[in-house]
Amino acid sequence: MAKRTGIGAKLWAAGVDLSTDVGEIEELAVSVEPLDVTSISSSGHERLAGLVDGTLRFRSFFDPTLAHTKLSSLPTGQRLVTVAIGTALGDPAASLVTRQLDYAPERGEDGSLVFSVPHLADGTAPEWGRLLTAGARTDTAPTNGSAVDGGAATTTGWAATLHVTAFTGTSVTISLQDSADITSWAALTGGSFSAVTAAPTSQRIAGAAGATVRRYVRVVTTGTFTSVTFVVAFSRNPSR
Amino acid sequence: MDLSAVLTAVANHATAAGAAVTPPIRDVRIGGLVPTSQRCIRVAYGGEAPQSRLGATESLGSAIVAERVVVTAWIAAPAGGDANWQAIELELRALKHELRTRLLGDATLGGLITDLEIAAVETEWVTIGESAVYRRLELAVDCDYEEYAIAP
Repeated sequence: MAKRTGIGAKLWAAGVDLSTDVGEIEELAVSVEPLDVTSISSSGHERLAGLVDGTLRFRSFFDPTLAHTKLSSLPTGQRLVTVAIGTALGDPAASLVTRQLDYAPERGEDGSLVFSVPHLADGTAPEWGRLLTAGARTDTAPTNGSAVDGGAATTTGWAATLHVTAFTGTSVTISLQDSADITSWAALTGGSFSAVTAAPTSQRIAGAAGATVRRYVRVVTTGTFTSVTFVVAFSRNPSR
Repeated sequence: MDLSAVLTAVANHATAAGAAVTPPIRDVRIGGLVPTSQRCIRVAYGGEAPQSRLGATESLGSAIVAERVVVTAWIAAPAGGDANWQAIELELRALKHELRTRLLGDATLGGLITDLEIAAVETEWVTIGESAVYRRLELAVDCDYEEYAIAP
């Protein structure tokens, strides 16, 4: 595959598409704490992998109708954020469970007003995976989505993050299915998000440690609704 | 951005600026760069300009550009001696002062745009045809911003 740029990236935070208000993603880091276990018999450092951590920092424009209303309150609770590199089905996407640390304005000499918005991961490492929707997908009726090919089955568990940006109807349930042959599908164990009755909202679900995910994965919607717009990012856990 | 309304708003300021200089410039129109009188001001769409007031020229999924409106003043070369030539230089400066003051004093053009920026004003000598010589002043007004979605 050819090299790609970051053009066309997207960022959703707690079910809100902030992409047009974000000018720069300064940092999206996954790190591992090195534990030094060097023995006296070693001539070089010996290390073990400790806790994983994550950092997200982006710069937003001042938009009093969107980014400012969502970011200025500095919520004390967790926030789910997904950054996608592209909007095609299967494009890479990183999801984080974060806590926002600041909302710091910078008023430049040129009159510009931008905000630095740092986050730290909370409890889980940032999860790099793939979009199971083509950017934001809009269903107007219960729909079986298109499949994303993972190349092979995995047995390391999984996690998925959902952002619902718009909803009209009574209730929609968004769930995951997997398949070995892209023909016969079954519900992924634990792969059903809680029913959504309003937007914006976001959720994260995860499979059991070591859970099997077959080669193909897709998103299906069920329920009573006339329109739902949503994004699902899915990651197969790395082997650790 | 409503370009028609913005052009009209800028032209209104140009009209007021032209009336405030001595001698006044009363021929002010939208469109048409070629002067049709000895002293005139024309207001025209100047294309795009780099957006400079938002802190970036792109968001994650869109390109952001400013829209430019150009105000051009034409003053025909005078008959007579050096004193008339020198007077034109002072008139140009006075006109520039009136234009910049009025536009920056109405930086949202009555709510039509979010902001505007005026680049350095330039003057030059222009010869049209074989003998028509004009002193020209050009003031570029970068207005607002337009976003164009980028889809790879």
